[in-house]
Amino acid sequence: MTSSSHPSGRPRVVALVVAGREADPAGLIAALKAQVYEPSAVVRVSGAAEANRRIAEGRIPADYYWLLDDSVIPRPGALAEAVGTAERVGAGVVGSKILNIRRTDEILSVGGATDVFGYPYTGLERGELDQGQYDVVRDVAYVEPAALLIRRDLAEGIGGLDAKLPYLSAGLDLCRRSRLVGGRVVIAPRSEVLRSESNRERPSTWREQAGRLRVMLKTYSPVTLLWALPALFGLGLAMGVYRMFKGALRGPLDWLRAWLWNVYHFPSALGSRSRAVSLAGDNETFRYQVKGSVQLREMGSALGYLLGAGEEGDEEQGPEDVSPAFWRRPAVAVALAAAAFLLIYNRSVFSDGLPVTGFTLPLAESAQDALRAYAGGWHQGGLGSPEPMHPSVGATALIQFLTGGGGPLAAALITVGSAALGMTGTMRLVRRLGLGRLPRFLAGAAYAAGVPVLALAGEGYWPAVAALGGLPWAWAGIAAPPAAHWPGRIGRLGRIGLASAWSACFLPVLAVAPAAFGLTWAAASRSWRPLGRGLFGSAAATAVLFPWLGVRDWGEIWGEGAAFHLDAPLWFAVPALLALGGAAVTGRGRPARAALAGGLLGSLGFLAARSAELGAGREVTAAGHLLAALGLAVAVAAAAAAPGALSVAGTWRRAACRAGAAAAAILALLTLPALPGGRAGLDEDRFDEPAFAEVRSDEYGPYRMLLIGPSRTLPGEHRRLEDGTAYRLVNGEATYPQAWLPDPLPGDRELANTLRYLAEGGERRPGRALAEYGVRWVVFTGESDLAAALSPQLDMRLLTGLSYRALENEADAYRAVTGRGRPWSPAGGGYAGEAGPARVRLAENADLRWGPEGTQSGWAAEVAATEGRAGFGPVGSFRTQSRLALAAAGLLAVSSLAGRPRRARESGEGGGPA
Amino acid sequence: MRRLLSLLAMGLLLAAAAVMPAPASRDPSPAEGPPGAGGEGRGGYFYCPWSVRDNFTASRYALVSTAPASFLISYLANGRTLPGPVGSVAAGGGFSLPNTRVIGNTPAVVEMSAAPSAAAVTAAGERMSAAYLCPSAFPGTWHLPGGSTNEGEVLTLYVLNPFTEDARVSLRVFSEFGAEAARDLELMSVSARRMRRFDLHDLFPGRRSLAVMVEQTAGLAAPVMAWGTPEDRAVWPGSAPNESWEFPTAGVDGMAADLVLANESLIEVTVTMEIFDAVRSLLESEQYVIPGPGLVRIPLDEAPVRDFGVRLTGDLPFSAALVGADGPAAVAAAGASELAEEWLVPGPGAAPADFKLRILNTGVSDIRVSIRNADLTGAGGSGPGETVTVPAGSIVTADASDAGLAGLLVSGSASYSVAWWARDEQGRMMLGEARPVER
Repeated sequence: MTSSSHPSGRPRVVALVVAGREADPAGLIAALKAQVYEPSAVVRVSGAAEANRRIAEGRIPADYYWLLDDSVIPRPGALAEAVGTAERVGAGVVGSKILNIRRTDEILSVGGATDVFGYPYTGLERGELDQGQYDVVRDVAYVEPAALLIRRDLAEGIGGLDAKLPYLSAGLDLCRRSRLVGGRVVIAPRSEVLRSESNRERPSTWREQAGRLRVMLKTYSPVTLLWALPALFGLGLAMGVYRMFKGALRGPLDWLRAWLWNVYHFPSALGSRSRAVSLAGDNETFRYQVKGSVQLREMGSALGYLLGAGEEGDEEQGPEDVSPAFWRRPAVAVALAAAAFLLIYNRSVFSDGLPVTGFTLPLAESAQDALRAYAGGWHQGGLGSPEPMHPSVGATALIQFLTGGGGPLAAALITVGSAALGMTGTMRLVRRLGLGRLPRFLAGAAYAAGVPVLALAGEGYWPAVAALGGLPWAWAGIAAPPAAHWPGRIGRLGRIGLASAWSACFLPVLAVAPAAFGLTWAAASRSWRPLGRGLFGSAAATAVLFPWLGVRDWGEIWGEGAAFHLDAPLWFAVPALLALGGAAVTGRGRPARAALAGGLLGSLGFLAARSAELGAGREVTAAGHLLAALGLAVAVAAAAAAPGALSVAGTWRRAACRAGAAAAAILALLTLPALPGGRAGLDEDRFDEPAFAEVRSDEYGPYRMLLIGPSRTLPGEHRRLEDGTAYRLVNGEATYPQAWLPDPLPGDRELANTLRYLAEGGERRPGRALAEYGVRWVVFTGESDLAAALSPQLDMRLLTGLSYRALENEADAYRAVTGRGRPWSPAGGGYAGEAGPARVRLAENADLRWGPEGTQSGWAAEVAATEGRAGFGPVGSFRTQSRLALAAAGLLAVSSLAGRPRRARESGEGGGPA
Repeated sequence: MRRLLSLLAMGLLLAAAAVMPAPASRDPSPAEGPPGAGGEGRGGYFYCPWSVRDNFTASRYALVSTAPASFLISYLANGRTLPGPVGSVAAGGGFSLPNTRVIGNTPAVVEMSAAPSAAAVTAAGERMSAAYLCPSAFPGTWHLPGGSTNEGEVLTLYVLNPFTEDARVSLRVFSEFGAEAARDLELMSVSARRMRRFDLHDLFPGRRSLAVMVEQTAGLAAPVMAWGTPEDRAVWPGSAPNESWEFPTAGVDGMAADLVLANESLIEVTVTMEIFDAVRSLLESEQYVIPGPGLVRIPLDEAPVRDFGVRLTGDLPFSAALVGADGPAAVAAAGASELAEEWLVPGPGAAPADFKLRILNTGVSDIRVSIRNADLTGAGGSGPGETVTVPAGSIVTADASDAGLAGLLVSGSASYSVAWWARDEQGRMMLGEARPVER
């Protein structure tokens, strides 16, 4: 209770209007005049500093100061309610309920709690209407400083607002310091002020982050700071990274700026802290705080949304549930289960990186070189070729480039990201098909780690593992309900195209999958729209396949590479048929429709995955695996949901549906054996040891390695001799861009002839024969007749300590050497060495685009040594096509952002209540 | 209806997929035996485990080729290959060059880019006179019969692994006492590009006759045996067992030599020995039995003539070598296990001694044989005796002393066998073998 010095006996209130930068205070002035409790004076101040000065001077008699942002419009009774509440409950600080000036029944703030780090928690839902639900005077941790009443003596005692703090932090700081000196902080909900909606991202700006940290430094005890500061340091960094992935690229930078700002202003924080009088400990502050971190809850909620655990329609509203009870929601449980599954499934990828096996090879050492090679440059497979490289080489190099050039990081991101995208995309797809949460999770697991995907991963075919991320997202987009407006439609098409392109880059045959699903879903839903979307997805996917696609005919695409074969043992086939049959034959409604669509596409995929006998090659059979996997996943979800969709049905139908559901559960359980390995289903490391080449290379390396052995044991593609002996060349370490071999050119044919000659046996100097091709090492990855044919011999030393049989060529096996025997070194896709008048023979297939002054020397290329550098002049048309493909991908990426829920721009510079 | 059609399509697709067989693996299954492991290398690779150079002895490499060929001699020392002389010879030419390595025994690999070709090592000096044909092919088991470890004699086995991978060999030793206990000599490693030496006179002293079998259990290795006295040394290469052997130089100038026949199988072998002289005197044949396993030593000093050749024919494969001592001379030679119309004879003329060529015709018709010198240019010219006729069932000896030659090329109208020998001024002898040219 304040002793009044007002003639009328009422407390005198001075309104301190803090001027904003651009706000027009006319409305506020008029509103102040309309107050039923008229302030004794209205003083306009330019900012918090001047407000503090006016308070300290105390020239204008006052019992309370009413701090007002000049952008607010207080309702006529606002001040009366605030003063009344203060007088009635003896509060030192009273906040007002803030309503949206555009929709006056929408609550923007009623004060609230914070977490231990000062992050505000209002408990409000977005757009929550004021129905009197908060109309009770409450003690709160903070009130927004847009309109707050503070007792004069309290304001003088604590020194007013901290002028260095931005809006929210300034309010928090004032409230907390008031409470520490015994002042009560309450919200007076009947005191209503109107204000325009503020930036929802405001608490995340770097100024607010810095402000909260400053508040902690000023108000917490040393003991609390001892644990809270390190926790905030880690949490802030994690949130920065999280926000970066959400699209706020400055997230980590904001975190850094916040801490640096506090380092710079630490002396002033220390000064404020020493001047402060504290009558209450931290416990008084903790009473008005929620447990844990509000930001962590927000992140968890967003993850749940991302994992498709939410409801249809969440997409428009966004994940906002950060209430203390949200952990107990089923959607969160499903999301957490999915996240845990992904973490365990990929844990070795995080800790040890990818194994090296099959097509799972380290990405290029230099992303730029790989991009140049992809865009019409020299294909390094075999003895080289100007042939365009596989689209996945360009995609991986681009991702590697965008992530800073680190191959292992990019490969891990692609692998884990694809598994996560595959799982969440399937959950999203199943949600689009109208099925429940548990079926979503089962389907997600059944797709990302199901038998077909594991079969491919077990073969080391990493491109398929990478491709699985896009397919379900493309299908989910195709099955989505129509968007209400054009930006939404464009965005949806962009996302379908982007997802389709992602999968097709790694597995080009998957370019037809969106059209196939579109056709199927169009038939199922009796609408042409899915077909149009599917065709668009396929067209977009096709666009990014150039220039690779431009030099291939259908026969090559159909039959290229060693085919896979999807085995269907009984323990897999029986549950799959039961699940499919249970939902498709006896199901009703959405589950039945989903089962039929999934079953049809899955069966088509299954046939493609086993069509080696029909001449299908690696790409077609691998695409068949993924198609079968996704179709089966949809069928699993349908089977799991089928019993719930039955209303009144006979016993036999219910029994069949339940059997299907049980089979679906078994299929989901079949993913568990993949978890212990933790390598995303990939086989164990097979080619780690041949990395010795890197170690044993001298300044003229990396040299070539000839790998001979059973085809399954060779990295990437291979060639064969007539007797079936599989072999391939790699330059130094086998890297991903070398995984695919171009069509053989004269050098490759000569190498095959040499190997045939060696296979006949009796050549005691095979090293001399292989040196011509720059082969310094011969590694036998398994049993081979060539191993026996090359033994014994005189010029290839056996390397010991390796589980493979590896021979090192003692003959000079330089990849580039001058006529005078001076070797050159590989450099950036070309070669470099001592300049001179001589010619340099390159152990690369002859091509006149090698220069300078490129000529042909037998099967090899020869250039002039005058510049000390040799390089391959790019193929112009291929380079142009690569650029167009990149542009198409970029266009898809940009258009995919269209129609997303608009996110208000971050203000970044809070600037206090002004 | 739509559901029915969908189920029907699904069923058809699944049924079609179910009957698709898995693609057959195109990977070949590894063959039982390596295609080129034991055989002779392409071109000509000759492995010479023994080539000594010291203050008293100079060794030379003698090369002969019927086709134009480049050659490279690589020395093996301490597990490394050291490049030696390189050059080329014309068709029908030869080349003789000294071992220029440091003092001691330096094994070497002689490579000729063309075939047929042959290489031999000769050593001559104050304390020895020896020659042997460097082997080029690798039988599964090498047989080295001959040699003894009587008081004052040294018998040393040199096993060379010229290749880049370690080899493993097991030795089996027979003497007049039967199979010798030699467990310590089993599965012994011969490191890559190294030679291993076995002093048999220390391991098995006091044996009047010894035969050694070198079995290659892993990798390949080439052995030669060196036997002698302080005054002279004889060296001969290992060979594979055969049912028939010819020794053209079994009797030369009344040299006291013995034939040592060895049999590694468990079944005894009956061997018929026929002696052929220069005048077709049809000396009587004799039969001997080699116990299985074991050896038999046949002294030739009681032969009725001074100069003769010998043919041995067994009912099972066996091995044979000629060893002997004549005054200060220690001699030894491996026999010819096959006959040919054309022979490469590296070595004669490489050593500073008079040499003689012995041709043995065990056939039933006369053979005209031409002899050409193999010099650097290949122009060669006529060799000793130019063209000679070798009557059926007799020997012919061609005398020559054309020092500086690398060797001879001998060709005839039918199959026969050839060998050579040389005697220096001190009376020491070297016996040398020839390499048949396969047609």
